[in-house]
This record gives sequence, C-alpha cells and structure tokens, in this order.
Amino acid sequence: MKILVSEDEPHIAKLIQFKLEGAGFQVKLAENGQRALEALGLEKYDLLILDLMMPICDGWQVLETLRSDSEAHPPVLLLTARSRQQDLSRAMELGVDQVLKKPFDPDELVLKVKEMVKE
Amino acid sequence: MTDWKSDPKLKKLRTEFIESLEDRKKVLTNALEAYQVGHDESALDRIQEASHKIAGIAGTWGFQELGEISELLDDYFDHFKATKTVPIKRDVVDFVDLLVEVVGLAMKDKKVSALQTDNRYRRITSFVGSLPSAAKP
Repeated sequence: MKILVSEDEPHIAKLIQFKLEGAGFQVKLAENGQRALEALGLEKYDLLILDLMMPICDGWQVLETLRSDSEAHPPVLLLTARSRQQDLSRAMELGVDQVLKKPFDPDELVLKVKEMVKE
Repeated sequence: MTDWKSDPKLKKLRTEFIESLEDRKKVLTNALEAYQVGHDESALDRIQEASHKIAGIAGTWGFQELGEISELLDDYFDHFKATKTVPIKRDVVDFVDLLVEVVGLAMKDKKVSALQTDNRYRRITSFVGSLPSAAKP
C-alpha cells in the first residue's frame, strides 16, 4: 500500500513516514502541494495525507485541483492545526474523507490510515 | 502524546524537533523586533505562521503548554484578520514574549511552571476564550 504525505514541516513528515513504514506502508513525501500533485500524476497512491498550510501550493489548492480533475484520486486524510468549523466544512466540500487535528497521536494516525485504506 | 522514550528513532526525531526550536525562536524574535520598529507589515504574519507551525507539532512531542500557547497566539491573530482590525501593540509584545520564553524552556527540554499565574497567559486565554463562536476557531 502506497501513501503520499504532503507536509512541509519536516519534523512531522519524518514522524509520519517512520510510523507508517513501521506499519508496513510505502511512503512518499512531498514538501508542498505542487510536489504532491506532480507525484499523484506519476503514480497511483492508496491514500493522500495532506497538510493545509504549505508554501508554493497549499492544501486548499491541492483539493481544488483534485476536485476539478476528472481522473480518480486517492482518498484524502487532512492533517490540520485549524479547528474552525468553516475550514472543516470547506474541506469536506472539497472532497476530504477524514480529518485529523494536529498535534496528533501518531498511533491514532496509523489506525486511521489502516481504516481508510481498507475501505 | 508519542511514546518517544521507548524508541531510539522517535527519540532522535524528538531531539531534532527540539533543535529546530532555536531557529523558530529566532523567527519569532526577529519578527517581533521588526513589528516593534514598525516598518514591516508582514511581521505579524510571520509570527502567526511560526506559532501555527509550533502549534501543529509541539503537543506530539510532549510540550503541551508550548502547543497551547502557540495555538492561542494563532487564534488571536486569526481574530484580527477575520475582523480586519489591529491588535494592541502591548498585547502582541507580551504574548509573543510569553511564547518565546516557553520556546526557550522547551529548547532545554524543560516544562513550564506556574503558567496559570502568568498574567500574559491569563490575558491571552481570556481574550481568545471571549471571542464569539463565529470568529473563534
């Protein structure tokens, strides 16, 4: 199972990679939304873990691009420190499947990922 | 909270986060200085961004108070952006100073003591807590 993690904060990205690889997943990191969209265009992933606040191309732009693209894309787990209801509602409207608020428990992240790739 | 003590790789990642706090502290102090001098309009944005980033990770590594104060500061700035108003300079300086102090403690892997009695903490929690639900994250 391949997971694409789009997160610009290296300390979070490396932690996610470590935990998910330990759980048996293949993990590719993308440090911004532009890199994530490029990666999605090159390979099929089983899940996209997406941060909102990233430089160059943020999570909102990624979600809007995926929504306007007719190609199928993987389910999206949004990681965000934002908890405003309007942000969460907007994310759901743009096709986010699940949200995990930061700071997150890495073990909870692994459980959520396992649930999402099973669906 | 991550059980980092039991895994050498997690311990290393936590150490790397602690080491990163020095640069984050510099970003905050440089931006605060620019804000106080008054010529840099983006200084508050830089402070908010730095706070937001810390808020997103500090708690994972056991720095709950650092995460809480960062999140309060992020919420504080969000309010002024949402309402297109300007914060009181003295408050900004006090709240960022508080965050910088707590970052400094975290750099030594130390916990905050007596935060509840810190006047700056009480003011920012009171302010964010009093925000109407539409404006408050």
